[in-house]
Amino acid sequence: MSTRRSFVASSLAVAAVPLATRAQSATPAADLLPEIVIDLSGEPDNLTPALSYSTRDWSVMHSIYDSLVDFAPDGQILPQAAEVFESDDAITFRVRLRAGMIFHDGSPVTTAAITRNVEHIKSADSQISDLYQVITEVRQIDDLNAEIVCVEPSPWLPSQLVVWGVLLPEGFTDESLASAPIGSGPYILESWEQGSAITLVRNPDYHLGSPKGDPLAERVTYRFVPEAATRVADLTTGLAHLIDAVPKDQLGAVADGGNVAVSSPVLATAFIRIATDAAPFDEPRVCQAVNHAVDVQAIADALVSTEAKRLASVFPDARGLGFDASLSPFAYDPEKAKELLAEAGYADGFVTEAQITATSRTDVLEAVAEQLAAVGIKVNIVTSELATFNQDWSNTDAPALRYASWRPMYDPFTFVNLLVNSEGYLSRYSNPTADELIRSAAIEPATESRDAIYQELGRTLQDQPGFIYLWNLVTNVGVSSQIEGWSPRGDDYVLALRRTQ
Amino acid sequence: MMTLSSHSSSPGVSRDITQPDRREDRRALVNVVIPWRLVPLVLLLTAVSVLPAILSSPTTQSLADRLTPPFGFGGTGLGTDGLGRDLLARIITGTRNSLAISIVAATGASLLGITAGVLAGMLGGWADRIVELLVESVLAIPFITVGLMVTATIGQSTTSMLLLLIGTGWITHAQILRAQARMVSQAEYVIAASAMGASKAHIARRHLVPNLLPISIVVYFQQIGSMLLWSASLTWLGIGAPIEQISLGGIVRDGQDLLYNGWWVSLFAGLAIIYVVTSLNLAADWLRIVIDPVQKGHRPL
Repeated sequence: MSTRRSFVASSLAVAAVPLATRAQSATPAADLLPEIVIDLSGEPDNLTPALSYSTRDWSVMHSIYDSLVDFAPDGQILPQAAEVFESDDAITFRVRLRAGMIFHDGSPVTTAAITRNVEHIKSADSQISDLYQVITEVRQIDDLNAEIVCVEPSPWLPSQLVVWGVLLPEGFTDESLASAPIGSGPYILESWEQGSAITLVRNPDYHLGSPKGDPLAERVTYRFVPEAATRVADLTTGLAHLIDAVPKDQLGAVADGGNVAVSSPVLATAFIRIATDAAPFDEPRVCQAVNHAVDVQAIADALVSTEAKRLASVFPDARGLGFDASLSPFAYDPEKAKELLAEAGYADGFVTEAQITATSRTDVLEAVAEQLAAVGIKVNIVTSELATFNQDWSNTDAPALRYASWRPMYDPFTFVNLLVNSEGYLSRYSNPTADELIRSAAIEPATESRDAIYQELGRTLQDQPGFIYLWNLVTNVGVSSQIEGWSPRGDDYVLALRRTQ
Repeated sequence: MMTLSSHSSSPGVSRDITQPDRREDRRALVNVVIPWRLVPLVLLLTAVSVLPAILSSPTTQSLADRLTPPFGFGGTGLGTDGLGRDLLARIITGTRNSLAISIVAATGASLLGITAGVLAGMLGGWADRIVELLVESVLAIPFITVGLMVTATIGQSTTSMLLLLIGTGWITHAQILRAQARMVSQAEYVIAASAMGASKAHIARRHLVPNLLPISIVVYFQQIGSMLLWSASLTWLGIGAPIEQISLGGIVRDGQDLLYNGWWVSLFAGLAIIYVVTSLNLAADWLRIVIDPVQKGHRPL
């Protein structure tokens, strides 16, 4: 325990960044644009914080709301609406809010906003309510100082607060959260035309110098454009200034249009989940065989991005916990795969199914299927609507393989608890060693120790794979030449903000 | 006397079809003897039956050779797609698969539509009203919406696409056949036959079938083309044929995100759709001229 404690001070006492050193002026920067248009590949499903689960939800949500904390580009947790956010034991988190913040309706931001957030998430019918049950109390010391108290060490909580710990105003209702959200963030919702666009205007009272960044424009319109070629055309013709999800094959079109294609690794992991609860994948050698059978790097280079690297397990890179540079990915070795299949009693291969959402990269799964076919595994591809796909995570009648990705992975807590833990809500994997590691990482306060436990989990997941490990995701954003100083975030939110640090 | 506007006369100009027209006779003869309208379809059928044996496999991938341009642009054949598969082989196989689906769909739609149309036209009364109600219901609901609902409920498969195509395609036959059957059953010679004691079966065999068969066949052929267009549209939207089944609509969709550096994928698949539909329509046109007694020998019905 003593070694553990010694880590605590260094790791969890999250930097109390003195904000006085930052520009606090509310005067807009000189190069503020009058209006920018952002083409997103899909419309947010929900702006209600507790019910937001996708990058497109979060792109709009975090334009309107501020969280207590945010991720720095290197994966560190930085105070955002909080001025100080620290803990010695990962049980009690001390928060001091910045002074003078106000909501879009003019009411002051006080520590009651934290309580409201915790109550909202805990009471919502949400996939993340369970995570918040660990919080026993929000102790409001005064308007600016509070303590978030947990029932047990919860070192993973700050990374959840980045996504869902947004400050909520007094008097919000389910309806107002869903359609007329009021936050304290950099932009104010002006209108939401269902199916076509969300328009935001700059919040004149926003404290410049937030680690999230400063507004780029007076007015921001998010449009929903599912076709990548149309997004690129919008950027080229000047209809849009930022476009998300540019396929690798269209990066050249962005550059030809005189704009910039920014490629950057996202802290997210792409994988094919293997259902190990039924034959033939209940045999670990079969799961190892499929990992050996797929030339992941060749597929990544050809179809995804040359910056996407084959992963050894589910942990994408060193900005997040659990990544182990010394752990080698499975080698592409079809012969070895055939041997393993033969040892497991499947010398003649077998037929299985792989599920994918209709809007996802079906070509990637086709390439994987072709390589599995080469070792005798015939894969039938099943496309589903997103809603059906999401219902099928733990459905034992659903296809054994499913192509998906997960983000953010700064802290793998949610991912491993939901998908790897045998009790996990989305899990079809069972391994007592993994369960034990996941449990001990969840309550280990010291970051270095948690990192080591997750690395151990990575090795366990290689011995007994529950996934075909693919690559770290790479975001390709098209940026208009009119916009300067915009940089992509590691969690892939597309915000109309310019990071100041 | 009933007058019909014939195929080769100017639109809107009607003439008494009891009077033979020598010029049209000659044209009709030429059409029968030298059926140029059949040439594209014959070429197409030859290609889809012979070429798959010669060409490389349409499913073999080669990531190293992805997006090889077509002949004339530094590559060979029609080039390769995003997974390095031979585009010509894919288009040929896709054409064959799409044709097969269209033929099955058109056959199903014809059988259903003809039965419904003839029953409605011959029996009238409640049968007519039911068919009319069904036809109007199908017309009232947007096809794509139905497609989305079918895919959402029973999943994306060839079967669900066929169900959708047949479920909406039968009304074409039903509408035409209903009108024709009604016209024939009210014709004087049928009334006369009925008055002389001919049974319904006899009337159906001797009068209805010979009169309705030609138009049914023509509509059937025309519908193969439109079924192909519909199935391609559905597949392009992602609610038609499954990914692994190579189809023309699927290739167009595959190429959509490759337009910048692989324009040939969608372009050639799109041209193939145009060619197939055009050749089917030309063949249907020829068939109409050959088997329609009005156009062939100008003998009144």
